[in-house]
Amino acid sequence: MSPEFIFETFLDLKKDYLSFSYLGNIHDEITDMLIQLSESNIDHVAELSKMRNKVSFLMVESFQNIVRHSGNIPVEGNLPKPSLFQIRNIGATYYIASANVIPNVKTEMLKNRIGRLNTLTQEELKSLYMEVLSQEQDGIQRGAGLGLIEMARKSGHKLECFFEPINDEYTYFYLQIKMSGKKNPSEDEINLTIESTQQLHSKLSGENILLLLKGNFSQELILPVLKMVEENMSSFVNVHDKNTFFVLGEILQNIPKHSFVNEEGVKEGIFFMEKFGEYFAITSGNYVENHYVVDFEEKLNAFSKLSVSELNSLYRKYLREGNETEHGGAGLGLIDIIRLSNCNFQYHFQKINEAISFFTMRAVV
Amino acid sequence: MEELLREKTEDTPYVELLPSGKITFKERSLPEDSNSFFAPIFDWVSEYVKNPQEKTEIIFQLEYFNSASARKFVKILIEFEPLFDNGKNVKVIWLYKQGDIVIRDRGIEISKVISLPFEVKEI
Repeated sequence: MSPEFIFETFLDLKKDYLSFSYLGNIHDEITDMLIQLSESNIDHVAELSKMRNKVSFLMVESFQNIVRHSGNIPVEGNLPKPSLFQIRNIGATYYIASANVIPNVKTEMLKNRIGRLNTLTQEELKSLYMEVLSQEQDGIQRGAGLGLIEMARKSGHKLECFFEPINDEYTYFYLQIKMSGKKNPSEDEINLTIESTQQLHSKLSGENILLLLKGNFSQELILPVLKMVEENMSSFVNVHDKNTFFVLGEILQNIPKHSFVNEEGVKEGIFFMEKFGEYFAITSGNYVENHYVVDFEEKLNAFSKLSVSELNSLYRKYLREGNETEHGGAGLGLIDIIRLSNCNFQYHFQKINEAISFFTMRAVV
Repeated sequence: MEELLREKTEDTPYVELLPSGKITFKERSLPEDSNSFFAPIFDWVSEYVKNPQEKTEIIFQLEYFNSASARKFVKILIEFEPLFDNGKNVKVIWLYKQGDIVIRDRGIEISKVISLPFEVKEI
């Protein structure tokens, strides 16, 4: 992943206060983490915090919908793209999107069902919901789209869907739900089409991205991500997994530590986790103030020239004597990242203007 | 001297500092601001070392800690070195979960920069 790709993706998501994409096997364990993640970020817009429960509900519903419609899908490895689950918050609007593989035979049914729901009023949706619910309770019909009806009701907007054929048997089913905290959102806020979601999915998949997070970096944003990665690990004592976790923790916590704070008080940053073979690549990007760049670059340059054993000695030296910064860091984090990546580490500074630069770093573990 | 207790949180460890000389850190340590989290711990330790027990045991049983916390743990241990130099019984016990080689090695690494008896033990 090049520094250009990182910055370009960051700019693509410029309007997102929170942007989270997960590409991989969708399973229930990550739902809790996603709720925590979105709740930690929802209070910044008053109109949104009122919708807190609705957003959480729709995320769970959307997840269950993926599982419900997946059927007997081929193994992830044989697919051109892994499944997608995405949350984006732009202004007072929340988007929840998913993409998963469905058998072609289900395409028409879903298209018709969603098309029909989109023609109904809130009142009609409510009666349909009651009708389907009683049929389900009577055992007449199972899985008759109660989830979709609920999504349409709670969202208050048309459900967007998109079908991308894979082969003679399977299709990607994209579903996007929108929720607005404001009655009349600005033009910018209603700009996110399902086609752009599909394009972002392809772009991220092309780079083997497992996780993408863009937002206001703080401990509240970082902790759910660490939790999610941990839950996806084979065990928390496995050497490779644990070392990856150490790098992940240091890189994530490094963003708010060094990030430029913009006029809204936001420490804007982006984070990627890629998987290729047995390896993980962990990447971050954020603005830093230019006056800070010279020292920072000098430090990184010096660390990058050292071998793992030299880094180990330096780590021990800093452990005992290191000068701590106002946030408690001592340069130890950077040394730890580089040595754990076996020196497979890159960094880059791109000057944006007289005040700030965009800083990226990437470590392969 | 009073004890200092801190329940664990998602990003801070369980801390138990007892005037009887038993000091314990458990679970995870990755506070957003390690200076403010560890400040009361340093205050307690500097009081304790003025009038220490004959025997002091410092127990670590961690499953994850960030580099800023590693530095703090070392700084805490450095406070106890003069006690040991003056003939007091001071011991560090570093416990790690079965198979957790990374945490074991992190303990060994810390033991190399500290001049105190240091036992690394699997549990």
